[in-house]
Amino acid sequence: MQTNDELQARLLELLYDLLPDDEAAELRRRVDGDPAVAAAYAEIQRTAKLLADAARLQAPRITLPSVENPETAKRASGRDVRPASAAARAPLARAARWATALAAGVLLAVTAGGFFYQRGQVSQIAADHLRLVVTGPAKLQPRATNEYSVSTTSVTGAPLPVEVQYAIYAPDGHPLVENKLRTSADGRLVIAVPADLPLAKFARLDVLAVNAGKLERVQAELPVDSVHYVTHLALDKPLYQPGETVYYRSLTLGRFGLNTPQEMPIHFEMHDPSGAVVAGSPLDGVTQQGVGNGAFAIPEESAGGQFTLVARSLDGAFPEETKTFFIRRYRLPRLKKDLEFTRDSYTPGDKVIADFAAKRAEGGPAAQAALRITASVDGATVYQSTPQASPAGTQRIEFTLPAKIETGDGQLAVVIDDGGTRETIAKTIPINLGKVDVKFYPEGGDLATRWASRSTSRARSSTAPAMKPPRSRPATRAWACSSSRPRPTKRTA
Amino acid sequence: MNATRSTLTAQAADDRHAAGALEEAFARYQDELLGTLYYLVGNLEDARDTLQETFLKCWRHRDGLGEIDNLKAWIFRIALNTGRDLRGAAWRRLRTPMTGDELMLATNDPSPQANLENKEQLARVRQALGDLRQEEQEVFLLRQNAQMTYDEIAQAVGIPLSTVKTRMRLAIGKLRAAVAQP
Repeated sequence: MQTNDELQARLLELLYDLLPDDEAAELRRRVDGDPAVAAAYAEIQRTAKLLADAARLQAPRITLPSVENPETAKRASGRDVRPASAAARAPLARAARWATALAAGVLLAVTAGGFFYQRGQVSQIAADHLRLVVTGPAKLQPRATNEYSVSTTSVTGAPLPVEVQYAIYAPDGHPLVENKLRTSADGRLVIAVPADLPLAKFARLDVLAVNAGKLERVQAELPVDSVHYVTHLALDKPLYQPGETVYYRSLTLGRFGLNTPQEMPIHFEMHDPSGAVVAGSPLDGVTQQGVGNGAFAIPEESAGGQFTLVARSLDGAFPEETKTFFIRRYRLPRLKKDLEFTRDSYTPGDKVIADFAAKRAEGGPAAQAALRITASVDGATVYQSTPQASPAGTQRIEFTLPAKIETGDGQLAVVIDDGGTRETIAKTIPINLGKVDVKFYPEGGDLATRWASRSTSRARSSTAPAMKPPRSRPATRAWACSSSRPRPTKRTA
Repeated sequence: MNATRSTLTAQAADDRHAAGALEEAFARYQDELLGTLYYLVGNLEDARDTLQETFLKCWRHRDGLGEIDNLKAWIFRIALNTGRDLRGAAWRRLRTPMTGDELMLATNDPSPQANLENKEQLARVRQALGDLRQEEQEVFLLRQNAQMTYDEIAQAVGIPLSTVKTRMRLAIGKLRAAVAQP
């Protein structure tokens, strides 16, 4: 079944000879035999007429270079266009040329007279007439300042500074804004519609310009944008398993000013990966102080994939908002693992000692679990072993760092195999190469002479992601400074 | 002598005939030509200049008019190339485009053209026509204004016939959508 839109598209293609012959013949038969199709065809003919009108430009006649003017023609052709030499001229031809010249002279005189007359007329019109143009947004944005530009020129485009009165009216005719200003020397003026104006569905802009006692007026009805708010959606988790409950919340705020609506009807629904609405997920409600919320229990048999939560305004107050999340069956960790270094940082050549422990989720240590331990520094393996965990599920790991380390990117990983359950724990080895990046942060941005100033410093290892200071010497302090004598006042780390 | 005179007279007659045909064609198709060039180059002043340049180019080649089957298509083809040349000129790229973000709300401009443009639907279609992709615009204007066949357009633009039809379908689809806007 062809929709009306499809039918109109085909009919327009028929008018523009874009259809294959057989299809065109079939469509013409339908136009002749079906009144509904005939009506659609008449409508599309009007559309085609509109397209034809839009494609043409009915501008005043343009004077093209006269082909009878030998100079112009010579310039155009690059050669003399006289058809015959002087020797070949016949008396009749000479008489004809004289007649032509006389006619051309008369024509020139008439044309010149007409030109100067027209110019005089235009000058008079230009002196009397004012061209008033108002530009700006086609829709008023509520709770925002809307600006409209007014231009006043003569008909020839010369700017005219004139007095402009403008007003914004409510639909009932009540004036919301009224003002009188003058356009600048370049004939321009900006009208600002205040953000706090109580706007209804539309407002009427009325601009009046006065020039030499004559009035020019422009009026426009401006619809007010009904989309006043925006909505943000949040979920309690990004990933769910079938059987879990999705808790969601929406916050709706004003687009300008972030005000909260008292109550607003809102609709929630969830879409599955195919885009279909998930059964049981649609929920209608009303926001309170801009906040709406809901919950949806994911059926156990639900297929996984990327789902979408959709929030929609029931009265078009805010654009549709979506938030995606995943439903996927995933395996919970069966082991609780712990890996702790005995020191806060290590330098090249140091002996690294770390304690590993693993407990089963159902309780009890991962006794005798098979371990595979790997330590790497700067991409190269520096230690590897495959011991068994103790009956208490623990293991002490000891190895020595290389004497020369370039970047200090080290990692210790333990793979645990506990009766078919295989899990991994990995930690970054805190390697300190002795390079410390120290920065000072004076309170207020700069230290001021003769005034007590506070400054905070921060020390970071140049390569390790985080560096703790040696226990005996705090690396980060706040200082109170006079112009010359700093003294520590507060330890911040 | 007589033979020479008759030859020259015939040449002059041919010249006058060619000139007359060109003038008549430009007078008859001026709205369509100006409209085509307006959308091609983006503003009325450049369109007028391009139209004059088109006329001069046609005038320079008037000697070959007798060999041309479709004078209108020939003129539009020259207009298209002239418009393309102007549009491609580096200095024009710095100029303000025809369509801006702001919509002209109202004006008391008394000229018929401005009054016409203020008609909402026509303005919308013109806006949509100006927003068409350049290749769609060219195909649509050559078909609409020059009444060229799709084969002639394919030859003029230098693309396959199927591509011409695809571009035309896209163009009229977009323009129809602009007409249908509430």
